[in-house]
Amino acid sequence: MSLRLRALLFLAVVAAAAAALGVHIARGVPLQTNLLAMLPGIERDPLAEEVLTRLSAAVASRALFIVSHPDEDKARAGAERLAAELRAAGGWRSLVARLPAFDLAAPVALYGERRFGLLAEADRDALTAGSFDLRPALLRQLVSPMGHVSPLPLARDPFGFFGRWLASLEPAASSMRLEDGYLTAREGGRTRILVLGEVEGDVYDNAVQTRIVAGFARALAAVLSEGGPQTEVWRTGNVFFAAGARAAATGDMDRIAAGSVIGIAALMLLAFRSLRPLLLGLTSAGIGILFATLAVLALDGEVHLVTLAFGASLIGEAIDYSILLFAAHLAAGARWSPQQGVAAVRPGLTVAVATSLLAYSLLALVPFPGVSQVALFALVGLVAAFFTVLWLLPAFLARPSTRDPEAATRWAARFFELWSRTLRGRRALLLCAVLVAACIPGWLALRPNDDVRLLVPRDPQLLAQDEAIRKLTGFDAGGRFFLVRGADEEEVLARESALARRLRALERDGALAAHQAVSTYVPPRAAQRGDRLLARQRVFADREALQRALTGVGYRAEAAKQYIAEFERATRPVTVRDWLASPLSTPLRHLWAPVGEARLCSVVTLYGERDAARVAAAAQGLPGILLVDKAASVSQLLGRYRGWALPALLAAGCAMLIVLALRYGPREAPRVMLPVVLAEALSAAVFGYSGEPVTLFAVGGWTLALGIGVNYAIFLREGIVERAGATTMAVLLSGSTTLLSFGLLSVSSVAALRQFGFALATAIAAAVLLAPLALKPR
Amino acid sequence: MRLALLALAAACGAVAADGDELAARVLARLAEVPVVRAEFVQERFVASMPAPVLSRGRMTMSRHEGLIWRIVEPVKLTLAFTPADIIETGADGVRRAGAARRGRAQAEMGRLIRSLTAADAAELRADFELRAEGSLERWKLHLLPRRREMARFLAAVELAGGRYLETIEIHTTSGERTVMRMSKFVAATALEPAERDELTPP
Repeated sequence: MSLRLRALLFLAVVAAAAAALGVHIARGVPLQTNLLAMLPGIERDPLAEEVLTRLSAAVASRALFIVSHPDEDKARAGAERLAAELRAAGGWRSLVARLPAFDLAAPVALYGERRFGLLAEADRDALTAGSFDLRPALLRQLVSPMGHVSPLPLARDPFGFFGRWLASLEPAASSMRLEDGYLTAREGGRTRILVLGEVEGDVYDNAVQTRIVAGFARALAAVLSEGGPQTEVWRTGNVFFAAGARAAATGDMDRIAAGSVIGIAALMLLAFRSLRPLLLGLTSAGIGILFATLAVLALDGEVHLVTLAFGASLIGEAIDYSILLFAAHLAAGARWSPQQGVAAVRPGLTVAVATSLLAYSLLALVPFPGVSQVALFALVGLVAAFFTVLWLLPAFLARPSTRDPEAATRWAARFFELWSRTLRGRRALLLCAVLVAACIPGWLALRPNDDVRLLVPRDPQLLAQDEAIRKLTGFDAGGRFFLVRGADEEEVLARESALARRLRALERDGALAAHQAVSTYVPPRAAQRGDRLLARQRVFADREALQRALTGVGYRAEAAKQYIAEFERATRPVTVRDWLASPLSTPLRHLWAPVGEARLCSVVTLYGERDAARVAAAAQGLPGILLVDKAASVSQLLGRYRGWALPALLAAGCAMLIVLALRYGPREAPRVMLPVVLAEALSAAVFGYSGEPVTLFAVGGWTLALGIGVNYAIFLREGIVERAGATTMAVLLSGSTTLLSFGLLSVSSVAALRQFGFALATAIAAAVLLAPLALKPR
Repeated sequence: MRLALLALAAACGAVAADGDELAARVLARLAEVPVVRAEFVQERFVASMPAPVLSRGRMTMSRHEGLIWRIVEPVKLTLAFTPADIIETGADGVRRAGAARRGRAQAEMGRLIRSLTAADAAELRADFELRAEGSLERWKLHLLPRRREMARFLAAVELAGGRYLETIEIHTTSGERTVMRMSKFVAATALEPAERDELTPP
């Protein structure tokens, strides 16, 4: 096949791919900004995973605002204005500045008839202890200056049992108080009002985020201009964090892409003094990215933000292959023919691509959706760039270079002379020994970090507001919860209340602020029967005595009779169905049967965990209860993979060694590997010295560096038409372009990318500098 | 005509200012005494009872540290209202803290009793519309709850007295009425150590 025909065919394929990508883009590329979506489903328990997904969606859509002002009326007006403006901007399922008046009839409607089976813990203890005397108990209710605070009249709750049970349902008081329906806190001479919001749709959806963030900006401006400079507005919610992360990552992407393109362009122009290599090089990188994006869209259906940021840096590696071709073109001078040129670079290029692909395939095996997508992107992108160099670029390099090859590469030849002399023979051995010795303290200082929060870039200002709001509202749900399973409603409730008893003990000790569980509102049937029995034995056993006690403290005889008759009539317990039907359950319905009645389970949520270890231990020995902790599970997983990384790196090294042995023989292959192995060791030492923790992402960077770093040794070893200057130029140039693009990742605001970039940049720089170690001794 | 209207407006303003000023002076005068001890009789009018429930005992009020309400008859019960909690001591002498954590309404009532007996001007003004009548020597304060939540269970409160706060009358929305009458006042500058112990959580 002629050069031209092959190029045309290749162009046709590229055009088809571009058209396909165009169709995808026209439909809208689904960009995934939920950084946690990079993570695999981690719970070993499939039910836990499903419940987690449901709950996260419910929790993620929440947003909270605090509007504050020294003046109460202005704070309230500000809160109302904020809610109104946000509502007008749209995108919200609900926004509440002022809560509707609590319906006092609701608790009576749900529990009134069934109240005799419901006892507060202290009352149950008192009745069980047997020290319960009717008359003093009745009198205590009547003489307290606090009066009778209960939705039932005194005559229907003369001992106050029901009032105390209802009070025990209230969650531990946060520092906020309902004032005229506004959730209010007063501190530091300011009145702070809480506004509750719930976002409509997926908070990780681009359109949803854009709308909410823009709407908030306008609403904030309106509130500030009305309330004056004294007004303060805080916000928190996943939608704001996700939008911030997206902005940071897309900003990174733009910066990295622009930085690497400009840097690479400058280097290429400087080295080749011609626009053609630059344009062709960018074309090969562009084609690589085109196919890579298409492959990811076709296989995964969505592009992850991290992939995009990483993809921008792939330009640097993809362009390496074309650089080799341009160096050959320059070195051949007037003797250039495209066929010969391709033939000269093909062996080295093939070995280089093969080793890179090995490293990336290894990365693709990591079962993290985000990481394997990055690997897929790189694999496809590099293969496409490789074929572009072999099939398309030669057609555009038909004419020989007009520059004198000797003169054009003289600087590189001189550098090579110096460089290789330093790194050959006994000096090389000495250098290696010194390097390894210098690395040792650095390695010893290495420390791992598997904290999942590294994944999510967080705006410090937003984080501070989030913290302040959590502290004020007590809405500091840490994302952990207990999953309670049972054969039927009764078993679930019974198991829950056994857990709740332990949690209440922790709450008294201050290890936990509060918890929410359905069994608080619907005690197990057995417990209700037990309480009713207790009331029958201690209070209603002797009707006459009770009647006398009631009339004795002043109740009319008929009121006393009615009370006793009501006890006799009320035998039915409260059930979950009753509770679900009551408006009282509205804010808590997600706790019961989150994945449907067929797989019955319930959720116990935790607030304000001060002692995570003790809370986690609360479920010990209780059947059917599981602590679900996504963050810890993910961190464990990150740690596990990080632990596997060293053996994996060794395996990759061995695989590469085999590829190299096929080309250079078993005796010489280790020499070609030496520079990159030393470079990895150096990079690890740099991490140790700089105090940067080692994460799975750093290890990922080293895996890639292994595949890329060996290329420089290969290129140098292969040489191009015996002109050492041209080879050196190619190695230095391709090393610099890779460093430029990956190095820029190390200034990313996404910690994961930063780690990745830092590992790559240090290892690649060392691999380039040590590359002559791969040369045969003279 | 306009002049007459202006005069009228000015007069109304003056009356309002007078009432407000009296309230301010009454509260300021009550606040001069840091600790007051007194005897009390409480009458509770309950809908389902033909006669009010009577109780009597002694109280000690410290403006800053809290209120001790010691009921002697018809049952022995001491309630110590501190800024943070309510501590109950029954006939058995066992002290139980945490009553204020048993629900918001209970905690609000505890706070209200404390701010009423202490005549805490800032708290009362935040919670109520105040209207005063009478003179500094024999005054009456009418309190109407400002906030929706308190107005749900509290209809009105009336305070009356002279040098000291003598009567507290609480009307609830359920139609119940509680009247507390204090007498035999003794002013002091500080709490006794035993009283301080009562206001310390167990």
